Amino acid sequence: MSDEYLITADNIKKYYTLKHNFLKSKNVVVKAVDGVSLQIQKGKTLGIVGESGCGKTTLGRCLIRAIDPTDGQIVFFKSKQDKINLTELNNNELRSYRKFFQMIFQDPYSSLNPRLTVGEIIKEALLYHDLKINNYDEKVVDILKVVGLEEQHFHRYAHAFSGGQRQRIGIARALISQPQFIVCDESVSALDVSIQAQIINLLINLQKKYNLTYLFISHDLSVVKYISDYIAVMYLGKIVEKGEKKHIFNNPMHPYTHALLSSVPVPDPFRKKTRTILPGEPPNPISPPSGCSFHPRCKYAKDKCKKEIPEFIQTGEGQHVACHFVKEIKLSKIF
Amino acid sequence: MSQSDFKLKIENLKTFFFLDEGILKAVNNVDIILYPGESIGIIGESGCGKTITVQSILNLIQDPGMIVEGKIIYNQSNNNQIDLAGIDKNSLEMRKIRGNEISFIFQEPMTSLSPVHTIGSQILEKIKLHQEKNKKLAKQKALEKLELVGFSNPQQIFESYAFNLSGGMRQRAMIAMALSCDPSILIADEPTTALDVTIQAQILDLIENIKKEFNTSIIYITHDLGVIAETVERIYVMYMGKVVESGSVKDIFSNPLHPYTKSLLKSIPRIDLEIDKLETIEGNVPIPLNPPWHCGFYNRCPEAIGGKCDKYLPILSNIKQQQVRCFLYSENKEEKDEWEQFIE
Repeated sequence: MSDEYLITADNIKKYYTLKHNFLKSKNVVVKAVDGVSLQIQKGKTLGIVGESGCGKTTLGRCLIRAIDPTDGQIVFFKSKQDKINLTELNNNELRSYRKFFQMIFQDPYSSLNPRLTVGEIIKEALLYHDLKINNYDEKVVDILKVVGLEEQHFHRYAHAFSGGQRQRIGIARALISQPQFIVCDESVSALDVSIQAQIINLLINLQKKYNLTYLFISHDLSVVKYISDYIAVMYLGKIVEKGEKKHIFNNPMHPYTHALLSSVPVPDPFRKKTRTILPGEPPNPISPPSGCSFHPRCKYAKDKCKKEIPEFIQTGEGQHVACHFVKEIKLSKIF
Repeated sequence: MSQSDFKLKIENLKTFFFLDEGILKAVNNVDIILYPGESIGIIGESGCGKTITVQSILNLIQDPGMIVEGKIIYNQSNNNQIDLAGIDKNSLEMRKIRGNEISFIFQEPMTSLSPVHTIGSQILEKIKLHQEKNKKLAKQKALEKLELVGFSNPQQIFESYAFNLSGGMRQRAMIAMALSCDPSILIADEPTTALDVTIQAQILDLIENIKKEFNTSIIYITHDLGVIAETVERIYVMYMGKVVESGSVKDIFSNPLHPYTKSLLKSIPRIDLEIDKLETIEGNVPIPLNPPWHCGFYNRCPEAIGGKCDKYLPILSNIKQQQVRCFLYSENKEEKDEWEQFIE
């Protein structure tokens, strides 16, 4: 069961062209996602981490074709035999598969329609997907109870709810079409600590109950560590390291992963600080650095890093690392 | 350190908002003390009164809110003590302190910087108002501060606008502005919440260095317990406008007393530990609008004592080195104040 893939993506690219103006004669291309390949196993969670602007959200949206990737292949395994190439479907064909993919958004305040009642918001998904169900309302009430809301909430508007409850509504809306794959884009980032824990536990329980597969995008590494099975670290549109959670956190191999993990403040005042401070900020994706895009901030960078783009190297533990000197660099243990 | 050595002492502060629906007791009987060269943290979830507490220090409270009771005693460098709560918010005296001796770093560097003025002119405005009237010397000072916060090209930053800078650079510029008049107290209201972890590490490091170099007292407000554990010496935990627990950061993290602090510490995912199941606090953070006269955490508390916690309000009592407001540790009840009698 665990080796069964639900979604595989091969060399996904998403380029945005900035229209030229009278000062610049040439079109400028922003490579938001630049050649990302990944596989997500059924019933598992892949966490995507990285700084803002590294292409996490764009990748998530490409995978469910909320936006069309410029290049690459996405294959969805509806069942063992039924293999669908999502990138080859046209819009009409795609519509019948949309119900299998859902998103849960970051901001529970702006992602719910203020003019619809909770019941209508959730029911809308059912109507759109033409699901043959006898009693829509009953189904909606059932799903409200699954996410921890009550029947009496059906006729209320979104503004009558707190942030945590709104996020539950967003989850109910995603669940109603019985999806297999859910992209959680910073779904708990806007919530308070105590509410965040409630929603994280809800997501985990739902995953067990319905055998859901998550792509969990977040900049909060502690949350990603708790919820994910696999981790992919992105930098400037590319994955620089991916692998099982325990390997990534216990034994980061890429200098960027190491720096990222070590800059997370640890809620333990007795711990000795071992921060590696990364100098500077992520470069502008309009003019990415040559070779390995991390080289201007990397303290191990050598001449080779400036010239050649590193290939993925598989290390002993099944970790994939895009770094020329992964075997030479000895990174200290963080946790 | 003796009691009189303090830099800032907040006593029995009450900041209420008078709304049509009733009285919102945003800050309700808060005591905080800050010593020179010390950094303290105020933690709690949104709506618990952290920001209003520190805004009260500089009397930045807007209508319909006001400080209704309490003292905010500020110990100036010449040992002159002033009660900031007692002076008018528009008075010259207050304006001399605001931004000059006590300054603020806000959360949102994009919205708190002016989009139509250069970074330089915004820093200059402050220096010229408070300290250096000479234009040339003022500019020199502004450039010095920009260099201090880690800009290698202060002249270029001086001439740029907020939208030219990235989030981390804006926050640096904001800190340069806050430091421009060499404040003795720096209040950082969620200074790194909007930033990436790598940039957050840079900014926290910067504030730490400034504290060491200038012996500045710092008040951090954040909901990120990781940031608190790494930066401050003492913590105040707030809930429903009240301090429910205070003590040194090590005591509170190793031995939290109040059920709210305990649950809060258990409900955060840890990057350094393996956790099987996150604990949650049921229910939502309540809004202190006409709060009932009993323990504010009563209906979410796993250790609540019926007949006591829902009837009376505990007072902040000393348990070893910590202070905690809970009936599990002390039987003492708080007397109803005149505001409560007024509402009744």
